[in-house]
Amino acid sequence: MTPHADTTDERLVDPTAYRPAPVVASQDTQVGTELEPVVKRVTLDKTRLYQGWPAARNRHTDYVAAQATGLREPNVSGGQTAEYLGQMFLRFFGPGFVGGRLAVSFLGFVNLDDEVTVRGTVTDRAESDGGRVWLEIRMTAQTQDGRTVLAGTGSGFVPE
Amino acid sequence: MSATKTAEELYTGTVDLRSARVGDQVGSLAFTVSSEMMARNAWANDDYHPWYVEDSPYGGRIVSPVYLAAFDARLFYGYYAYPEGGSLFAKQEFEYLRPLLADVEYVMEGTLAEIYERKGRTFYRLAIVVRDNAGVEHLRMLKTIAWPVRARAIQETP
Repeated sequence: MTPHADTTDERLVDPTAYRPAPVVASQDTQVGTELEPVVKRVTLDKTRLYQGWPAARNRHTDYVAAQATGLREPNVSGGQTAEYLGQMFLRFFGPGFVGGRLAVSFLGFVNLDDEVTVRGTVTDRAESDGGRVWLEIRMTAQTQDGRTVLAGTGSGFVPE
Repeated sequence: MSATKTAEELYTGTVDLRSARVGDQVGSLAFTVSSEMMARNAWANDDYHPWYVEDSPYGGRIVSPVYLAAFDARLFYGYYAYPEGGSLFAKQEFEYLRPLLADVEYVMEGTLAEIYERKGRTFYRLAIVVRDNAGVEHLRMLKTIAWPVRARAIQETP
């Protein structure tokens, strides 16, 4: 038996590769529309990459620095997890992000190896005098054990 | 000797947070987010949007919408002394006027817009404006920093 015994034709797809969101802001988007969730698992390598290790030694990258602040081990920075909401925001609004707004509240710590799932829903819709459609989305990020660690809102016009 | 620096060593502010007043001008910070930095951000977050790593309709790679949250605290703590025991980032708000491009220099400038107390902590809301070298505004942000990390005991009223 060889180590490569799989003879099926199924090809694996890179799960991290970029692909457009299946649900994007459009003239037809209605309140209650759910966005495709963004799911991330944050490892020590990922947080070190984000922070610029080894030049950056802080409580997000370094055990000694983390323990000096009372943590058992490094945790994930709010800026890094906010990127997941930014990913959902940009994929949904596309060019409509220009002129838009994003707000993120940091509600809880994200630990190494947590799986963070961001869910988003369209919560408001308005139409300007000129017929442009404006949308607002609400986003929450939860860990695998159900802790809400971030909450946010994003808004913008539907791209013309 | 190591060239590494802790977060605290990157902060150079000297003004005691307890003396902060609404209207304090905390100064400015010139910065350039390079294409390499955007690529690193993409790897770290597995977000390979082509506008970050290839090209965009705006004349080059853009900076991700929340990227500046990674280092804008240097503006706050370039003016105020980093408190013993650290602080927390409570909230970050962005208003996108124009995209920020990678490899282009911008300047962020901050003013303390609000101070309030809540649940044993003091919250400092810094208003930040990001302009290009021609003075054109690209981004407005509000960064809310809470201190101390461990909330003070709240005096209960009978």
